[in-house]
Amino acid sequence: MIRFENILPKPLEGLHHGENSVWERSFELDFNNKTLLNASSGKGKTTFIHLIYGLRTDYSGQILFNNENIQQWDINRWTEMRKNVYSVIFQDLQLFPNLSTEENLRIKWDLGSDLKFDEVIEMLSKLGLGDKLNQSCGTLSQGQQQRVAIVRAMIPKFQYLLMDEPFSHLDEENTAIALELILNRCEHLNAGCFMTTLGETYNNKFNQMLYL
Amino acid sequence: MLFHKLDRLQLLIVTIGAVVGFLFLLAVVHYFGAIKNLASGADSIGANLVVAQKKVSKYAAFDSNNAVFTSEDLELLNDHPAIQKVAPVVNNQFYVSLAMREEGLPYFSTDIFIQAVDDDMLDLKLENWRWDEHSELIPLVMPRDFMLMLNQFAASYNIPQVSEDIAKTLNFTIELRGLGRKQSYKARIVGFSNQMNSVLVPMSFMTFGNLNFAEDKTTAPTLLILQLDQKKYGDFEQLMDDLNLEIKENELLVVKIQGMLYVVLSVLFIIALIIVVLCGMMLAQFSMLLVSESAYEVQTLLHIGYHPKQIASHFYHFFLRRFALVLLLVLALFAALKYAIDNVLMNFGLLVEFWPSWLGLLIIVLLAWGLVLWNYKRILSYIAKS
Repeated sequence: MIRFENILPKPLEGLHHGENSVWERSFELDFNNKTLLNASSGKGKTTFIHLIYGLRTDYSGQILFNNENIQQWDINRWTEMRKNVYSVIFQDLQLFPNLSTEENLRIKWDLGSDLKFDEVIEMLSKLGLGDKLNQSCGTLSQGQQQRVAIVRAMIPKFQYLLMDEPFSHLDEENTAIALELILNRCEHLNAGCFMTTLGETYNNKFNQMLYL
Repeated sequence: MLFHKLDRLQLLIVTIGAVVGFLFLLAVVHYFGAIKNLASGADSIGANLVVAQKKVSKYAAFDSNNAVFTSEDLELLNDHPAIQKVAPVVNNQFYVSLAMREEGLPYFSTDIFIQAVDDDMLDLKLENWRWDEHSELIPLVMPRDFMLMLNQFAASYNIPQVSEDIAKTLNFTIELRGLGRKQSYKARIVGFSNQMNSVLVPMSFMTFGNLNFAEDKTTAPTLLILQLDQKKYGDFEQLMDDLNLEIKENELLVVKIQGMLYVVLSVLFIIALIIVVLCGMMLAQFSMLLVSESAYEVQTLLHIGYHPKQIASHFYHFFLRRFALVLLLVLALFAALKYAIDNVLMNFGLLVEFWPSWLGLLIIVLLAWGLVLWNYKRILSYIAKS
């Protein structure tokens, strides 16, 4: 469980935030929940995910993970969290463009997974990329790369999945397949998830809604 | 992935720098050792040792005290920075004769003069150089001139000449006489010396002889063995003049050459170290450039759960392999260089050890590994901060 106490990123200081906004409020993210963070562009959705994931520390207030202040964590603790607790789909995907699809997936799989690599390839095939295994990621379309990033995030045995607009380049059909894949994986691992979106509600498959 | 922006030219420059630096270092350390052994091995008297006596002028030839080292002389020598150790040579004060009675060889007998020095001045294994009253044999170190005499004797009787190894198997008898007593002992040669003109025996035997057969039991030394510090040889020459000392000219030559070569090699050693340090700095700069050019890949690996140590270890293994290659190249080049240098040295009659110095190898391996490890720590710290 993560508890937020009056969090406000430094760049957003002095700006007006709505009553429902998560900024400067105290609330919790339960790892059993599927949470959707809904906001228009520029409100700080990516920033919010980066705060949870430890990529940004320029904020006031406190973020507590099981009552530990995450600002006190060192690189060893963050590595452990990123390896064993969180999995993430970045908005900018963060793939290795010079490596093939398979190599991109193997890099994550090498860190440890409950899945066999064949099962990972099966997921990729479900998303229509079974024939792109040996293709360099940099040469795939944005939508294809987004699907590779989704599959990569499914590999570890995570407790909480963070997703920053993971379907922004996918059509409806692929979005539905990817969402089903994600929710099945979360259910299988008994894990929670957190997704930012620009207004989509995804047929109310999420049980907690937050706003910025 | 982490090396796709590798600048091959820069890597080549670092590699060449490392090869030159380590090659210099290995060569210098190897030849340091070779020079140290230049005067040892062939002589039973240890390395860096000279035998010194007082110059005898024609006016003072009949004054026996003029050739004696006084306690003041010994104190002066002991305190001198160019001299590491002073050991008096003890003479026999009784009659000694040496005889050889071997089957098939003519009887050979001569009066001899024996001397003894401290054991640690001799380049002999201690088990060969030990005597007490229960010992079966007296070990002897013979002057090489003795072999000449022995072989001339053999030639005049038309018997085959003997080598040093064969001479070591011959059985001799030593007879001590004095104070109305006479006693015989078996003896065998264990080593040879160019520097001593007398037969050397263990100090314990000399003490025993002087105690039991000599009338005059107290005499000041007329001969000293000095262990020199080659680096301060200039100071020693001045002392020789002050104390009116003389030593064999060929001994001086070896010491002079050694001293000169030490200076040359010391300068080369410093140059080699500077090259290695410069190579280390180039390696550090090259590595940082490599890591910063792979900043996206490094950051992404950190973001997906890789520990900085896991990422830095890729660079560590890359440079470790590169330096292993450098060391192999250094060994190959050193073998070629050594072959050429040793051929020149052999033309001067100098034989140098075949294998490269283990100390030199150890130094370059440890230095190379140290550089790679230091570089790894810097990369790790850089990645952890990013």
